[in-house]
This record gives sequence, C-alpha cells and structure tokens, in this order.
Amino acid sequence: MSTLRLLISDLAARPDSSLLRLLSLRPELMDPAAADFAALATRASSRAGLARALDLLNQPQLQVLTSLIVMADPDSGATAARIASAVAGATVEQVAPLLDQLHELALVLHAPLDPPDTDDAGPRLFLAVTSLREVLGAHPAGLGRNYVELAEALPGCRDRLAGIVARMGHGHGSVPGRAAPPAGNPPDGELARQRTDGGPDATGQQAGPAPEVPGQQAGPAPSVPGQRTDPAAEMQRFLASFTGPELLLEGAPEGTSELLAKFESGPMGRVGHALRDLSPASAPGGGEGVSSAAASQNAARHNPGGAVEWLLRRGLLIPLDDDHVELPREVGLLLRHGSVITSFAPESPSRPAAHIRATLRDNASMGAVASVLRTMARLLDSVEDAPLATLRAGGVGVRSVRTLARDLDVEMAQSYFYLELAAMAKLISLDPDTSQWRATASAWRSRDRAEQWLWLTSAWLDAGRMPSLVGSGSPAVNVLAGEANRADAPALRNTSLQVLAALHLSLTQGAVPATVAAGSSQEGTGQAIAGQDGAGVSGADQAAAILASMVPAPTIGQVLEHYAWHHPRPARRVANALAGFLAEAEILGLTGAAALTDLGLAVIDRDWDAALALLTGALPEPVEHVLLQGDLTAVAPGFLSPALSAELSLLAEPEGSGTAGVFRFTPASIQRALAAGRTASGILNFLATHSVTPVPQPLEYLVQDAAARHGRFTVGAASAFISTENPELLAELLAGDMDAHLGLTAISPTVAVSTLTSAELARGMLDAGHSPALADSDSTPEPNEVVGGTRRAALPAKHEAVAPYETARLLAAEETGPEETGTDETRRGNAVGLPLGLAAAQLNLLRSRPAWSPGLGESAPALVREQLQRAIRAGTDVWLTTVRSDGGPERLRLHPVTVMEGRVRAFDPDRASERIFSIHRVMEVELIDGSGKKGTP
Amino acid sequence: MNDGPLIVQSDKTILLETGHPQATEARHAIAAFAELERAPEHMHSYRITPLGLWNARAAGLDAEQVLDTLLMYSRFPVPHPLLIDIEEVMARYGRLRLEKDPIHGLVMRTNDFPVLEEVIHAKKIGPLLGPRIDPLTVVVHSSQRGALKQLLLKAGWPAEDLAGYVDGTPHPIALTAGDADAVAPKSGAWSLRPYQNLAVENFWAGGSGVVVLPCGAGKTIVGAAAMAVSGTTTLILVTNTLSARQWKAELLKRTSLTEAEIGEYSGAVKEVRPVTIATYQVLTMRRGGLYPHLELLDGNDWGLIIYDEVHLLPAPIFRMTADLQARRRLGLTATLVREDGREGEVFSLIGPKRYDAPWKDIEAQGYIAPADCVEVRIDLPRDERMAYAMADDADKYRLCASSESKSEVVERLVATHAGEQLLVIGQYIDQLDEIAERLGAPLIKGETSVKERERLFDEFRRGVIHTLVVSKVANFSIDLPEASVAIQVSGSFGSRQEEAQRLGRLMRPKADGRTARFYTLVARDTVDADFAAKRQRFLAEQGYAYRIIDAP
Repeated sequence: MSTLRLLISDLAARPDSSLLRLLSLRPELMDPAAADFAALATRASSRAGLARALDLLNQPQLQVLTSLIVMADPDSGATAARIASAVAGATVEQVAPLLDQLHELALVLHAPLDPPDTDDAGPRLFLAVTSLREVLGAHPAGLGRNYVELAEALPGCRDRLAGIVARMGHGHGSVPGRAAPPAGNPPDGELARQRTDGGPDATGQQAGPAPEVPGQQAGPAPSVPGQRTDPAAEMQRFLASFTGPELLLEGAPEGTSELLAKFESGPMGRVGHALRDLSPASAPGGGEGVSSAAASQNAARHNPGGAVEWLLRRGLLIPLDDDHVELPREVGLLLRHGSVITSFAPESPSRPAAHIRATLRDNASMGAVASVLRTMARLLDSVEDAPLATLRAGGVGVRSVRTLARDLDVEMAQSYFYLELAAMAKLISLDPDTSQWRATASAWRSRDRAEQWLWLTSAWLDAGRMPSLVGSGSPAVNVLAGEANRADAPALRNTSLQVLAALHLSLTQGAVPATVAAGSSQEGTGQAIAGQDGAGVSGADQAAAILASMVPAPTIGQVLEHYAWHHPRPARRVANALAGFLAEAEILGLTGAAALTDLGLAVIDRDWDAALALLTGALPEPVEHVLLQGDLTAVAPGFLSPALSAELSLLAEPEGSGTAGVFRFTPASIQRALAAGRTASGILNFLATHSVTPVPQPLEYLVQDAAARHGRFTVGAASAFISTENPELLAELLAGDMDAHLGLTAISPTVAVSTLTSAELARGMLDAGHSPALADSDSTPEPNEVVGGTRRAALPAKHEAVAPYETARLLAAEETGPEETGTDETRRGNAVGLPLGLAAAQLNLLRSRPAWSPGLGESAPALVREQLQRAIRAGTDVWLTTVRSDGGPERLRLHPVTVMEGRVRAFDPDRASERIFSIHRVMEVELIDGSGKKGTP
Repeated sequence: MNDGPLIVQSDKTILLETGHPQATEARHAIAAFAELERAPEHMHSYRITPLGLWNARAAGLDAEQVLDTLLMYSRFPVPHPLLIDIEEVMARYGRLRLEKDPIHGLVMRTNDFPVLEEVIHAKKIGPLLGPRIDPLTVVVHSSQRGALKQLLLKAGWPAEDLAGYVDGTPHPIALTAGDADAVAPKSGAWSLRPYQNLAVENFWAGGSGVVVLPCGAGKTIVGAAAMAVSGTTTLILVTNTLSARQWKAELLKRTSLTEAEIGEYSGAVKEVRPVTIATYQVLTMRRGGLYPHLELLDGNDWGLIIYDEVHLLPAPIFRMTADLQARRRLGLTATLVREDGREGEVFSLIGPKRYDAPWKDIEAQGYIAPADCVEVRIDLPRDERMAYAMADDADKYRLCASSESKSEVVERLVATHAGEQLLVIGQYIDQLDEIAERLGAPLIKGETSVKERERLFDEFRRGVIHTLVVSKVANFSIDLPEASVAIQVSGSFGSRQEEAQRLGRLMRPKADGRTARFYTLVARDTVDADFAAKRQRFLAEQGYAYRIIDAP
C-alpha cells in the first residue's frame, strides 16, 4: 500500500481544525500554496519536508517514531502495544497519545482496515510515512540491518551465512547444537523452556517483552520445512529462539560482552581481517579488540581465539569488507533485551536551576532595552556620517568596526551584533553603487521607543543570519559578510527561545522551594548577584516571600539539555549557536541576568500587543527638560526626547554614555551651532525654555562671547566673477538683472560674483548687450562640488516604514479582514508566526479542489517512485508506461532494480538488457502480482 | 518605576540629583564606594573605580551591599554589565592577605591557589617574595611590604594588609578641647567638630589612610586628634618651613604638648623630639647620591606618621614610605587630585581614603566661609593685543597673563574693597613687583626670608597691614584666617589644584560670617582664558561656579 495515497486520503478526511494545526506546525507545506491534497501530501512526505518535521519532534515522539519504524512492517503497520513493547519503560497509555501527535504531524498514518468496511477490527495499526526510513538514516536507534537485508546487499554474505548455518547445525527449524544446555551449567528454567518450545511462531504472537524478529521479511518469510531454506531466515529463526543475550553468549570468550557494548550507539565496527576464513577449528586464546569505526589498528590483530572470531564464527557479526563488520539488527535487539529504545524519556529533564531576584532580572532587562535603543540610535548617526565600506572579500573590515565600537562605547563583539541587528532590521543597507553600508531612510527613528525595540527584536527573531559567527573561524568571518548567513537560523533561534520559555515555565510552576533555598544559601562570596540578602531572615514567611520573588536563571548547559529533549535532532546543530542566541537575547533584554522576562515571554509567543504594553509601561517617559549647571554642562535626568537631544548635541558635546544625557558646552560647540544658523539669542531662548534651572551666568557669557567672535569672516559659494573698472557699469548691470538670471551678488563696488559658470555668465551678459572679456582660463573657476561636513543624504530608495512585526499583521489583515483573529490557543501554537489568514486561505483552496487528480501535479513523480520502490522490495515486475523521446507513450514490462537520483534502473526481459528511465517521464506504474520472486520473470 | 535620586550611567558614573528628597541619604550610601568627581549645583557625579570599590571592601562593605544601594536609589535600570563588573572587581580584593606568622614573620596567604601562582610568576612581584611554605602561603620580605602592596594593586589583586602595626614609643598626648561653640575658634575654648571626629574615628578604625577635607576645614586638628588617640611619638611631614611652624603653633594650642616636646627638622634646624615636624624638602635632599636625612623616618620608633598635603608628596618620599608599612600613616589633603595621576600609589602606600566631604557640605555647616568666585575679563589694549598676536608661542602666556591693564584693574578692585584683608596672588615676579609698587603694599616672594615672611603674615593677621602681594610661595598651608578677598592676577598655566588651594586661603570662617571673594583676572581671547577655564574646572566641579564680569 502506498503511504502517499494513504496520506492523501488521510489529509482529505481530516477536519479543518486538524488541518489548520498541521499547517501551523509545518507552515512550509503551504509555501507556496499547495494546489490540492495530493500536492500537500507529497510535500509532507518529501525528504526535505520530513527532515524539517523531524526537527520539531521531542525526545519521546522521536523515540516512538523510531520504534515504529524498526518494529512495524512497512506495508501493514504495527499496533500501539507492539510499538510500546519495543520502548523500554513505556506503556501503551504513554505511547498512544504520542502516536496521535505524530499522526497530526502527518508522519504516522493509520493503516487501512482490512477489510475496509469493518468498524472495530481490533487495535488500530500504525504506519510510518515511507520516506521516513531514508530520512532517519540507515541505522535507526543505532541498530544495523537485519540478516535478510544484509544477505541481499552484501555479495557472498548469503554463502557465508549458509556455511555458518550448516556448521552450527541449526538449519532445520530447531537448534540442535544448543538445544540441550551443557550439563552442570543449567540455565534459568523459564528461559530454557521458552527456548525449547518456542519456535518463531510462538514468540511472534506474544505482546510481551519477548523479542521478535522484526524487519521487512519477518512476516512472510518462507519457512516451509523441507524446502531449501534461506540461511538469513535461518539465522533470524535461530536468534528468535533466545529471550536474552545471556544464553546467546554462553561460552563466549572473555571480553565479548565488553566488545558488544561498543555497538550500543552504532552497528558498524572496524576489525582486522574481517573476511577471514572460518573453516579451520579455532583454539581458545586471549581477547581480541574491536572498536567502533575509529579505533586503532593494533586492536584489530587477527586472533583466532578472540571475541571477534567467536562472533564471526557464529554469524553474530557480519563482515562488510575485510576491515569492517556490522552487527545485525536481530543481534542488536537481543542485546537490548528486545527493546529498540532502551531508555524512554517521557518527561523533560528536571534539574534545579539557579534562581535570582526578579528585581535584578527586570533591572538587567530594562537596562538592556534602553541600552540597545541608545546604541542603535548612535550607530545610525555614526553610519549616516561615515558609511561603512565593504571589503572585496565581503563584509565590513575590522578597522571600520573598531572605530565604530569606540564611537558606540561597546566592545568589538557587541558592535558586530549591533551592525548585524541594524542590517536585519533594514536600518542600514548595502548601496550597490558605492558598495557601502548606509543608513536607510527608515520610519524607525520616528517611532516611539517601545515600537523601536519591537521592530529590532522581531527582525532579529526571523533573521537568516547568525551574528555570533562573525569574528570566528579562520579566516575570520567579517561582519555583514555572506558567510554568516544560515538558512536554518530562524528555526534554530525560535526553537531555542521556545525551549527557554518552556524551561522557564516549568521551573516557575514546578517545585521551586527546597532545592533553591538550599542552593542560594550555599552560594559563596562573589555571588551577590545571584544571592539574596539572607541577613537575619529566618522566618518561614520571609523565606517564602523571598522565594516568590525569585526567578529561575538557567545556564546554557541546562537550556541545551532541554533543547536535546524538546528537539533531539537539531540539538547538535544548535549546540554551537545557542550561546550566541542567548547572549543576543540578553543584549536585547529578552532575558535579564539569564532569566527570561515577561517581556521575553510575550515576544517568544509573538504576542506583540502584550510586549508593547509591557514595554510602554516600563519605559520612562522621555524628559523634555535639562538642568544647566555652572560648570557649563547640561544634564538631562532621563531619556531625552529625540528632538531636544538633537538640538543639544549641536549646541554642546555629548559626554559619557548612559540613560541620562550629559552635554558640555564649549566655545567650539557654540560656534558650531552659530555656523549652523543659530543665533545667540536663539540659543539662550532655547536653553531658558528647556532648562528647569536658570541659565548660569558663565554659560550666558560663553554664548555671547562666542557669538561676538562669530562671523568675522563670511564664506559663500560662487563660480564666476565680474570685475570692472567702472562702478557705475556694475551698478547698471546689477540693476538690469532684475530676474536674477545671472545670479549676481556684488561684493564690492567693482566686483560681483555669480553662481553661473563663467561661460554661462558671459553668454548671459552678451544677451543683455554687454561684451565681456574672459579672464585667463587658469583663473576661471570651475564648477566645483561642494565638499565638507554636510551629512550625506540617507539612501532614499528603499523606504522602510513598516516594522517586521507589523508585516505579518498587515498580511493577515489583508487576507482575512481585521475581525478574524485566531483563538489564543492557535496563536500560541503558531510557532514561526505565520498569520492564520494564510492557513485559512490554504484550507479554502484545498477544500475547493478534488483531493487528487491522477497523473498530474506535484504528487505524480512521488507516487511513481513509491510504486517502484515497493516493486523492488517485493521483487515483482511492473507494467511501466513512459514517454518516448518522440512524445508518444510506451508500455513496458520491466523488472525494476534500483531507484535513485531521479532515475529508475530496470531489467527489460524482452531485450534482456538493463534500461534506465527518468522518473519524471514515467506516467504510470502497475505492479504485476504473482511474478517470480527473484530476478528473471 | 523607581524614583530615586541616582542615575547610574553605563560609563560607570553615577549622577546624583541634589534637589531630590533622598539625596543626602543616597550620597552617604554611595560615598562609601564611589569617588565624587564633580559637584556642581544640581547634579553631582560620582565615578565607580576599582580603587573606590577596593576602598569600600577595605572598609568592610561587600558587593551585595553596593549593588543593593545602587538598585535601591537608582531611578532607572542599572546597566547589568556594570553590576557584574562591580562584583568581579570587589571579589579581587582580599584574595591575597598579608599576615603575621609566628614562625615565618610576614607572609602572604590566599585561599585561591591560581591567584597566588599568578602573582608569584609575575616578573616584578616574584623577587619580593621569599620561600613558599605551603601551596597557599608564601613568605614576604618584611622590607618589601609596601612595594609588594603597590605592585599587587597594579596587578589588580590588591592585598588585604592584616599584619598590623608596630606600637611605636608611647608618648601621651591630650587635646585641650573643651565644650564651647565649635564655630568660634578664637574664643580659646574649642572642641572637635563632628566631621573631624568622624574622620579620626574612620582613620583609626582603618589603621592607615587619607582624610580629604577642604582648605580651612581644620585638617591640622584632625592630625592633632589622631596623635592624641595614638598616644605615641609622631613624625609630621609638611611642605615647607613656614607650614612646619604653623603646625607647631597649632599643636601647642590644641594639645597638651609643650614647646620642648615638639621638634622641627628643616633646612634651618634639625631637632628630633617625641613629636617631630619635618619638611619634604629636607628629607628628599640628596648629597652624593644619598639621602642623608632619610634615616629620620626609620631610625626612630614612630607610632604615627602624618603626611600633610599628601597630594604633593614627592616621589622619593613614596619610595621611602614603601618601607614604613608597619607604622600607622595618616595623609591629609584638600584636593586628592594629583596632576601626575599617582592616586593609586597614595592608596597602596599611605592607605585608602578614609574620609571625604564635598566642600559645599562643610560650607553649609558653617565651618568654612562661603566664597564668591568672579572671573574678570579684560580686553587687552590694541598694542598689547598686537604684541601678543605676533609673539612666539612660548611667550604668549606670559605676555597676556602679565598685561599692564591687569594692574589697573587690580588697583580699582583694591579700592572697592578698601578696609578688607586682601591678598594679591600672582605667578610672575615682575608683574607682582609692579603691582606692589602701585598699591604701596609689601610683597612676599621666594627670596623673602622666612623671618620677614613670618613678620608680614603676622602683621596681616593682626590687621596692621590690609593688603599683601604674594607669589606662589603662599599657595599652601599658609593660615591667614581673616583674609577675605583675593585677587589672582596670573596662575601657573592650567593647574587645577593651585586654583583650589588659592581659594582655600580665604576659607577660614570669618568672625562676622562674611562671604569671601575670589577674583581671577583673565585677558580675553588669549591663552590666558583657556588656562583659566582649565584651572577653574576643579572648583566649578566642587560647586564654586564663577561669575564672569567685564573689567570695571
């Protein structure tokens, strides 16, 4: 049965709520919108789609899924009980809801009931989506291939097994060589009984912990006595007769258990001379080493009496080549006492975390918020003044960043982050003409501070870059260079934050008291930040009050541990990035002193309104006044409103850094303001208006003194001049130029200047009836660009008026109209923040079409592939309809051999040769039942 | 949101809004660990430095208390990196301890093995240490106690000195303090002012250290009180002979000491008595590569050493002081601003700051006179202006600072303050000669003999002469209680503490509670104005805002 067809009908039969939930959990399925259910199912079961879905799974989900894949027959599936039996420590009650969750994610399907119209035909059978086997890798749960697969895949393996079976003498449905335990060494009674009466059929029906040979050939393996038996199946039957590893390893040389323990994590191992000849009798001898792939060579010396020899002789290790061996799945399972998963982890790990005072956390967080906004504003000023040039190698050079870091008064590593953040929020952008990063004309600056912060943070959440990579590696990654792009950054960042949030919630709701109290009293000196003032606090009430005001501050290690439970598959990728994510969250103020804040929680939930509300309440109002002091400074006791701050920065030099603004007036700064067009009285008025204290006399004096010295020279721009001996003539010319065509300004009775070039001026004068002589060409002023300290205009092209967190909302409003918003529950579950509107639209689209149009759409090649794979597995022939090069259809009876890389290799019995077809040219595949089992039809 | 009086900046400064109801409370709380940097009218600013934090640790404060203080009084969130920094810096103090060991003498102990390893392997520190006794203890050559402390401070691991002090030769000294009104020193009966008492208590509790008090606030009395508490023989180091005499006079007045018990050790006289007053100059005198008078410091069993004007302590004395770590040391100063930036050495060799008070605070309590600072801007006449414009850079300052037009202005100012005790202070002798001649007033300069100086100062104190022209010899330690007006015609370039010390001459509280007035004459549009601005900075930051007027 094709799981793809099954999945199509499964999806089509789901209620809307279930589909919406699927789409919100796996939003990439509807990007772009899927045309029909077949397309949706194809995407859901594509390798890429499955890999992303597996990243979402938590430890128990993944464990159950792995167990399902190992235990279940790929065509008929397995019951929850059977799956649970292969997970040590799990009960059916625990496994069933996990299977439902996997089903919701479209990773696990309900096998069709047989016959289909019976309602209650026993327990439900579960089936994994076919490609999951490939995505999970060749060794699910660290188990090797089974004997049948090994015998198929390895040339010579079958013969080797046959030799072993013959030698061991267990090839006839019983185990004569080992039927009677050696005298004087009686095994456990029950085990012996099971072993002797239990054929493969008997154990197969037991739902208990008795191991059963799983795998593809388990069910229909031919075992008719008398027929020429397959040695692989014999081996399976042989192993199935054991209930535990003890008897299997009876009589094994010393060190065998230790050696087998090395196969715990993976079935492959390296030995010397694995393809040794096993026929001569072996003499007992010393131990022999084997090791997982990377072991040293000396451990692999050929030693006839060693454990390796023993295992090879009994077929418990299968040589892959002369250097490598694989532990067959049956043996691996037996060693694990029949469990695929040896330690079920239904609960996230719970270790007590350090706790800090909530006031300290909030202080740190709000301090960080203020600091981010302040630094970003300064960064934009700085980039506006001096755009950052890019290097040929990409990114911005260390030297420019160092200058910037000094300006911003932050460390280099932080300035990398701020630059990256500015680029993420599109506050700076690369000007392709000059290859410079310049400030964009963004609406960011005019927003109020809470919105500014959310703008930055929401941009950070979904940015496909990892700023923490900057400065690492060799050669080091430059800031804003392409090397720091990571497509999976948003997913890793968001899942990391969600894990942090989950951990925070579990720690705050969980049992805090005893452990924390003990932990914090043991903190030594130098832990004042984490500590609590324990001086004289002894009463239980007080202790409780202190505890209530404490919040958990987990370490990176703890977050990582939880990540590994919540998302085991991407955990290794996130291990390197997590420190960066958490450090950045700390800079942004999502966490304070490593403890998650309410603000951070709202942001992680993408509850922008709540975040804005929290922040607006916590950020102090901007102040509109300063204190002027006799030492020629102005101090703003708080965050100064931007307009006032800009004007003061012109009048005075900003000093220091921090929440409060300190400005020092100097003669130079006042002169700068005068040069920018301010007047002495204007400045004094401005100061008097915005100062809550009287303007100190020395400051007043300074302004007037500077004004008195200002303007002793006048500088203007001109490009041509007129000089004449005759003042009257010039006066006439000036009077005649009523419309100011000539742009003349008299600077003395006999000299005037013009803004026109000399040639234009001469032409204009000729038109006016004068006949000017041109001065020597070298003295003719050329039109010249005005250079100097004027600020370069910001890039006008891309006007960023909408913050990242608002785009989603705007899109949603467009799609669904403002009145339709999701319930709280769906919104919280909406991990990557896609608007519900999109999901609803996708749903409408799906419901408006038939579930599947055969031979069309995205699903066709996937169906073809699946059919072919099934045929290969079953060894049957197919009728294959393909498109010839002239466009006409061609129907062939073929024996498919392999499917890979978009092509199918098949044996054509008519031509007696092998042919290769592209899968996209194959129109239809029909399985021919009842064809011969092997090779030739 | 909190509404405290503090704003903690991320550049490690703390702003204190003085008008806030909690301002006083907050100031006392942060003074323990932050250095007052500027104290203008509305917003005082403090700086958090490692030195200040270690001072606080030395005074028994721990990081948690510091953080609590900041969080409690801060109006806005305190930058978290700053909090972490404070915690880390404070944790460095006392990891190494200097202790007395009954067998090995002076040893350095630690609980933190890597730190000891680090300092033992430091190039400069290693040679000062003796053999290792056990992994956590190392012997210290007792002569290197000071040098070691100094280097450890530089290395960022300040040692806590628990080795104690030698007792010194006992010599009972008592104060003559009565219970009369403290504000009227003339009345004969007097008592310790509260802040003086606190300063002495802090000092004694801490063992060694520096007391910072404004000029005229009675630092000598703090010294006398410390001697009384100590009750041992005492060595007092002062800047010059005149100052030595004033100390002697003051000690005779304030304590039970008699003339015979106090010795002067200067260029002129070399007496060693139970209480000896020596000048820096004679101690640092060098003959044939040796300091012949150096043994005075170590040759006697002093129980207490007082360093007057510790901000002027010359480098050789620093070196010698390094050897005196077993004796109690008291530093006194008004301005712990060293133009050479050696505050760290004062900390490690004399001791941490034990008491500090903003000038305006003491003024508010009435113990020093309020002062009005006026900058008089003078337009240079055209010919002088041209001469200035053409002059070499090296001569420019002298030209504008000693302009003739200043002399005229001095004359007019003296006329407006007729009858008041008035000082004219300047840098250039030519200029002072001319002014003295114009005013018909006596001039004290470097070449004036000590005897003549004493006579003139005495007459000035008694009101026989009203106007005195002085050169920079009168910058420090000259006690002229009734001077109420000073006119500074020129200063030594941009020295901040000179300006403060000159203002300090006027700060003794006046019998009638008058406001002192300090004029400084500045030539407009010249380097004189730039230097003046630089000099005024210390005072402006202490809250003494200058008024600026044009020359009358």
